[in-house]
Amino acid sequence: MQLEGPSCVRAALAAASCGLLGIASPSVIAGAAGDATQADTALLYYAEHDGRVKVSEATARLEQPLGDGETVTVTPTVDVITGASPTGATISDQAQTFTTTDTTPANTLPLKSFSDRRYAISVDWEQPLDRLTRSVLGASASTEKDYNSLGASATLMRDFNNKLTTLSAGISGSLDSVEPAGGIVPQGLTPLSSAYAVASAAPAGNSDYEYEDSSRPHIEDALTTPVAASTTLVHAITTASGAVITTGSGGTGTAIVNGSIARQTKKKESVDGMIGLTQVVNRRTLMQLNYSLGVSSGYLTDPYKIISMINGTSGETVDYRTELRPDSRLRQSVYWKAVYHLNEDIIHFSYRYFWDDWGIRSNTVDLHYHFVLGDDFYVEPQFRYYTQSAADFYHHSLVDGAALPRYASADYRLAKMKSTSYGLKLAMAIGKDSEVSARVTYMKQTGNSHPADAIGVQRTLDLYPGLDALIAQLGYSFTF
Amino acid sequence: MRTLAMIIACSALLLSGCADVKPWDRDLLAQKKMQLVPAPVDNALDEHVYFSKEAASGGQGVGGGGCGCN
Repeated sequence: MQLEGPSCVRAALAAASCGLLGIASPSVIAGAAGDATQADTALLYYAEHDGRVKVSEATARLEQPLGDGETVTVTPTVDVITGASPTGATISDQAQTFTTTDTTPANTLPLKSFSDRRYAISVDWEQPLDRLTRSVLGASASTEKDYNSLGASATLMRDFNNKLTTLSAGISGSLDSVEPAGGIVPQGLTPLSSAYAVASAAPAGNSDYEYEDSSRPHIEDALTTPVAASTTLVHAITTASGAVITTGSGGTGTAIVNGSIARQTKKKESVDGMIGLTQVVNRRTLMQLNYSLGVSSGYLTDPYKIISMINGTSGETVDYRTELRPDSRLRQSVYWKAVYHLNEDIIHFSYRYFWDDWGIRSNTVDLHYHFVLGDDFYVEPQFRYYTQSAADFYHHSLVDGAALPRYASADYRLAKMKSTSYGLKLAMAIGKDSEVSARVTYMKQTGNSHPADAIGVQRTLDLYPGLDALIAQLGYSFTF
Repeated sequence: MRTLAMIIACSALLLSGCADVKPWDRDLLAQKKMQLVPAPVDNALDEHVYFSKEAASGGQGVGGGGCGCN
């Protein structure tokens, strides 16, 4: 939708302070079109190289003005996810056997296949509180086979300085729950042969019982339902849902008798706050500066990731353990964005510095050049460059027999790495209120393939999996 | 505290040198392509991809849906 002419003061004022919330802030300008519903729909296909993750996603953003400056925006999304992702185990010059049915050939990155569907919806309600103040209240929910999330948010925006300056403050909270496929939350930093065994000592009737091994006080193992019966050593576990997990050979543990245990659930809570300032710098320039602070607590471990245990001399893999992350994380970021109007074209530039108490430091720059090719057509090259340092507890592998760290993860997303994205969007207006668009993005992640602490044979192997992904998107926007 | 001081300093810098743009001069600012987030669906899809593939996230605002992808 394009607005023309300087007479639309309301839209002008809206533009001067709009978008404070980024995703959470509905476009106020659309409200100036009257009471028509603005619909922005998109289909996205995401594919990684080497048959890794593929995602098909459909989304629609429906924005309905309610009169008196109020708008409600509803955004439903469906994702279909298939493929395989790295398990965390390092590549080896030997074939690697994880379970009786899962073997990775030599010199091949170990992957775990999965499939899931995600259904998500968010609703935002924006209303003016007085001439200078607006609020946005939001709620969101999403569900997957192994993950559910509920969230709520509230933001206040107040204009100052003849509506050239807008201050905003927002807070959001979310409650998430993880139910790993297979039904069992593995014990952290535990050999695979026993990580999926379940303690038999859970007291009957206590659904929130937290089992703790006194020898490792931060072990992750909670039962949502007590185990009704137990036997001794198992090599395969049958859960209530009928799925069988093969836990490898050897080790000791406790079996779950078929049907005796419900799926285990872990909780995760997050609270995020943000203060922001948006400023009209001059007739052609708009800037935004945000500071965000967030805390996550609970089960922040990835229940599917493992880490290779390496012989300290030869570098050969001798065993695997599950990963374990801290149960809290404090995140902060400063985000700056500038929008500059050339004669016709627009430049969008943003920079974000992110840091957390896991030791991650990250820089992101993002540049979009909106190149106008006539009244109805534009092209937008997009470039993004991202870097991050490694989490303190990231290890590509651990030395077998050495003292275990308190936390460890070999998730490549917690490693030191860089990511570069190149995108191109083409969009064409159809009539007054409709637009079709196509967008393609290529993303490449690179990390340290040959870290200095590689041992023995590891020095000849690529220890960072890397990532190449292609993202294609079709969009259609219209009013009705 | 150092972060807060930095934010206040940056805010002051941002505000200094700002012109008084009268309402009748805000025609360019009123264009949809001049919004901070002119394509919210594109933005949300991008954020979802990056959230699931990178350790850092957020910064633009609060709210939005959860995902087990990270």
